[in-house]
Amino acid sequence: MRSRRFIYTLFILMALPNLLFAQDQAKQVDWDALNKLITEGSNDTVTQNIRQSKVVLLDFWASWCGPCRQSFPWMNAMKAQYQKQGLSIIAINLDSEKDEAKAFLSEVKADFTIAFDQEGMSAEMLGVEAMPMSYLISSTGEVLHQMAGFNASKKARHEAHIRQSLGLE
Amino acid sequence: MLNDICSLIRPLGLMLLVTALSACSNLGVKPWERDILAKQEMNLISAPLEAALDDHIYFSKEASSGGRSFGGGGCGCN
Repeated sequence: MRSRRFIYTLFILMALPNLLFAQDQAKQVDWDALNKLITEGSNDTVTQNIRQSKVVLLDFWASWCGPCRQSFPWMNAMKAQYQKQGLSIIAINLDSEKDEAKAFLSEVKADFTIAFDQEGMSAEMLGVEAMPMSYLISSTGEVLHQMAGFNASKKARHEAHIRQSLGLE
Repeated sequence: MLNDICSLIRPLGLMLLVTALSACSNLGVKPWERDILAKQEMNLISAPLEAALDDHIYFSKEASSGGRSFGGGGCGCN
């Protein structure tokens, strides 16, 4: 009896660390902390972007990820359409080799801000669970929407989230 | 009963510490770490034609398919 109880407790204890250290989805983003984890890429600086906009679309991508390639033209279009309403886009690259990201960027046009995080610490901070993954974050750092993955059928839903976050709907 | 619990606390605490400190609480490859898995040379068969022929044999003779690589090129998005 006692040994059985011991085994049960053992099982629970083995599961505990998983529960305790399971990564929670970030509800609030600390922009300063995030800024320390990434290196600036192109266009405007990240801080400048955050200060000027109402909502930030924070995208995590990598050069080896097919859907990321598809999402770039869409993000260009979104920026063109909603920039005036206060949307800015920051795309953080998570390639472990920066050269691969540079090669990708020479092929695929990006009108928005690019940042690099080779260690993936920023992705860890936000609890990224797919590639690509985007977050709609208010200027105060509140996570309004999470969008995992990208394909043609998700475009409309993602855009609806953007419109909603900007208060257009 | 209370004695029972008290005598269990120390070994259980120790076990909790060991499981927490071991890597067991955090298994798996993160989505953004799958870049190496997505590389061509990480395929079991890197020649696409040979792989396709092999797949056809499995499909037609054994009625099985897939399982050759990671969904979505290893990006974790599907």
